[in-house]
Amino acid sequence: MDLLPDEDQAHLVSTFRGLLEDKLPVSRLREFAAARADFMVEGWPLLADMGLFSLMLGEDKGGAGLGVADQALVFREIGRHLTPGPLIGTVLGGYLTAADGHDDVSAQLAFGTWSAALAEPFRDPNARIEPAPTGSFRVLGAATGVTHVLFCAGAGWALVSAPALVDVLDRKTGIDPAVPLHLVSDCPAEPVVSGRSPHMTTLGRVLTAAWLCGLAEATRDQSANHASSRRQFGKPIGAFQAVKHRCADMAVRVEAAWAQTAYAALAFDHNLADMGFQAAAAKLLAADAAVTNGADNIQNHGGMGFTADLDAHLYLRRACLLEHVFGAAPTLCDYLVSTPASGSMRLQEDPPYGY
Amino acid sequence: MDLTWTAAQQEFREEVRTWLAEHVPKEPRPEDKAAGNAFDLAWQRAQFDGGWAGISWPTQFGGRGLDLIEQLIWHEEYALAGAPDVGTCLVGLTQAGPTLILTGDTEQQNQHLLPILRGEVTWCQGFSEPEAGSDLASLRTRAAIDGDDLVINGRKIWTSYGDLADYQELLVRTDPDAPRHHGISWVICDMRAPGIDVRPIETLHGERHFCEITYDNVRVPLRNVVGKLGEGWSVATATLSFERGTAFMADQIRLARRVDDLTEMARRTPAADGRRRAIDDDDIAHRLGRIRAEVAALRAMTYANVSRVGRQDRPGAESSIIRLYYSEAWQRLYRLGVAIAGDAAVQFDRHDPDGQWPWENLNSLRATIAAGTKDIQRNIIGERLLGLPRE
Repeated sequence: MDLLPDEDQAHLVSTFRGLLEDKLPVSRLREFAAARADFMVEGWPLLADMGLFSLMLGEDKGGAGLGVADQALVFREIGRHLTPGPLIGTVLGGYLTAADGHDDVSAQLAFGTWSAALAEPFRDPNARIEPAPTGSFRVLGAATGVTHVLFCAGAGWALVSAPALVDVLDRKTGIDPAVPLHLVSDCPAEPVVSGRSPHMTTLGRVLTAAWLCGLAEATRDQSANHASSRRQFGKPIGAFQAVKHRCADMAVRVEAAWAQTAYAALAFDHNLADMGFQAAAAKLLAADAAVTNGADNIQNHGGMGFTADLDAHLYLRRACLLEHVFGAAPTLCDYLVSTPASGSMRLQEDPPYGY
Repeated sequence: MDLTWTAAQQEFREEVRTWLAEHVPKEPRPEDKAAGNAFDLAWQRAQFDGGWAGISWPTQFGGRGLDLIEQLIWHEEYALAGAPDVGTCLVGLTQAGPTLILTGDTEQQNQHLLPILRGEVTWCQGFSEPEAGSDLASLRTRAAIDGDDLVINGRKIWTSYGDLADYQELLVRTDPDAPRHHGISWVICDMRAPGIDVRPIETLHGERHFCEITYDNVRVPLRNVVGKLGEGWSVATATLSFERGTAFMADQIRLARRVDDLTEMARRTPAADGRRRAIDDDDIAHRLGRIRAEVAALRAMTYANVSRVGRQDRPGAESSIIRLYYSEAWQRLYRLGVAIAGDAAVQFDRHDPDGQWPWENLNSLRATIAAGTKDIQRNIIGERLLGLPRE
C-alpha cells in the first residue's frame, strides 16, 4: 500500500508539467480564449503528442498501458495549468471505445485526430441513450475543430459526429470563456458508435476530481505566494492570522481532496467493490476544494483579485463548470448516503433503502 | 501508487484478526475511575502476554517492532474488532515510553519500559499549566537543584488520570534565566512523592478525568532527569517524531462507525415534519453524504501520510492537517447527530439512544482544543507547510 507516486509516476508528472509549462503556459491561454479555433489546431496536437489521450490505451495498441491512477496524476497537472479543450470527453471516449473493442475509433481519440466534447443530461430525468441520444443534453467544449460529442446518460454512452449536430446545437454563454457551452434536444444523428458501461460515471468522476484537485492546488499556491510577498501594515499579509488561516484551510481541502481522489483512482484500477462510492466522495470533496479555494484565492488577492487582469477568476470559473460534470453535490450526496462503503460504512441491507 | 497488500501483510492481518477475536474483552470498560484504570492495565497485560504490547517499540526494548504498514494493519484491525480504547495506558505507551526509548539512559529504560508494556503502571502528563497552554514554552513550574534532588514548586493542569497515575512525565523550568524554550527539563516524577496534591476538575459534561496538580517542595532525584538538564524542550519535541500517524487509523474507523450509526439513525428517525424520515430531508441527506465522504477522505489521508512518513522517515506538517480535519469532522458529525435527533436533542445522556448525541456534541468541543488547538494547528499548517511568515 502506497498512496504516493512511485518513481515512474513522479517522472510522468514532471514530464507533463514541464511540457505544459513550456508549450501551453497559462499566459498563452488568453490568446486561445480570444480565438477558440486556434487551440484545436495549435494546442490539441501538442497534448496528443504528449500522450495525454493514450495513457490508458493498451501497449499492444500503441498506448502507454497505464492506469487511472496515472491518468489522474496527469489530470491534476492539467488542472494546475488551466489547460483547455474537451479533455474528459476525449479520454473517457477513448476508454469506452477501447473497452468495447472499437479499436479504430479509440485510436483516433488516443492519437489526436478525433476529439470529443462531453454531453450530459440537462434538466431532463428521461434523457437517455437508446442507442441514439434522446432528450435534452448540455454539451461542454464543442468548439470549432472539435470532431465529436460523447453523450453520457446513466450507463449509456454514444459518440456522435459534431458536424452532424451543427444545426441543433443551441449556443449559450458559458461561465468558462475557454469552454463553449451548447444545449441540444433530441440529437438527429446516428452515433458513430455507442455502448453501455457500468464504470463510466465512476471513471468520469475520478478524472474530473483529479482535474479539480489541480485547480485547488494552483489557487492554494497562488494565495500562499501572494500572502508571502504582498506587504501591508509593515509585514507580509500572510503573517496575519486571518489570512494565514484562510490559506491553511485551502491546504487542508487540497490534501483531503487529492488523497481521496488518489484512493478512488486506485480503487478503480483494483476494481474494488466500493469504487463508485470512493469516486463520488472524491468528486464531492474536490469540487468543494476547487470552488472554495478559487473564491478564497480572489479574496486573498484583495482588489486585484476581482479584476480580469489576474488569472484567479479563470481558475474559479473552471471549477464552477467542472462542479457540474458527472454530478454536483445534491446528486453525489444522495448517492453517498445510499451506497455502502468499505471501512465500516456499510448500510444495513434490511430494509433496503430505495434509491 | 498501489492499494495492494503483500502476501506477508495479508497473513499478518489474519494473525492479528484471529488474536483480537479471541482476546478482546467482551465486557465494557467500567465507568468507575479506579475500576476503569484496572481494566485498561489488565487489557495492556493481556496484549503483552499475547506478544502485542508496544507494537511500534523496538524489540530491544520489549516491543514488537512492527514496520509502518504492519502498525497500520494492527490499528485497523484493532478498531474493526471493537477493541477498547487505550485509556489510562495512553501516556505511558505513546509518550513517556517513547521518550525514554529515544532519550532515556539505561537505568531509566530498565526501570520503566517493561512495567509500561506489562500494564503494571499508569503514567500521566505534566506539561500544561494554568498560565501556559498553547504557549507551553512559557511554563513556570520551577525546579531548583538541592544536593542530589530537584525541588519542585508550581502547578500543572489538564493532567488526565493524575489521580490514578504512578508516574508523571513532568516539564519544569530548571533555569529561569535561560530564554523560553531553553532552561526546561523533562523529569520522571513519582506521583506518590510528598508535596503533590491532585485535584480532579469537572468538565462541562460531568467527567472528572482531568486534574490540576500543585507541587509544594516536591523532591525528585536528579537521576530522574531524562536527557540533559535544560534540554527538556527538545526531549519533548523528539518524542513527537515517534508517532508516525498509524494510530490515526483506529480513530478514523471509530468515526466511520459513528457515521454508520448516524446514517442508520437518520433512516429510522422522523424528520421535523413528522411525516418523512430524517434521511429524506435534503439538508440532512446532504450533510450525511458529506460526512461520509469526509470520513472516507480521512482514511485516504491516513494512508497517504503513512506513505509519506515511510519515505521521509519523519512526520511532517501534514499530520496537523489530518488532526485538524479529524477534529472538525468529529464535531460536524455530532452536530448532525443533534440535528437528526430533532426534538429529542434536549436530552443529555451518554447511554441513551437519543440523549447520546447531545452528550457527544458537547463532548466534541474538546476536539479542537486538546493536543493543540485548531488555531495552533492552522498556524503550523500555514507556517510549516505553506511557508507563511510568523506573526
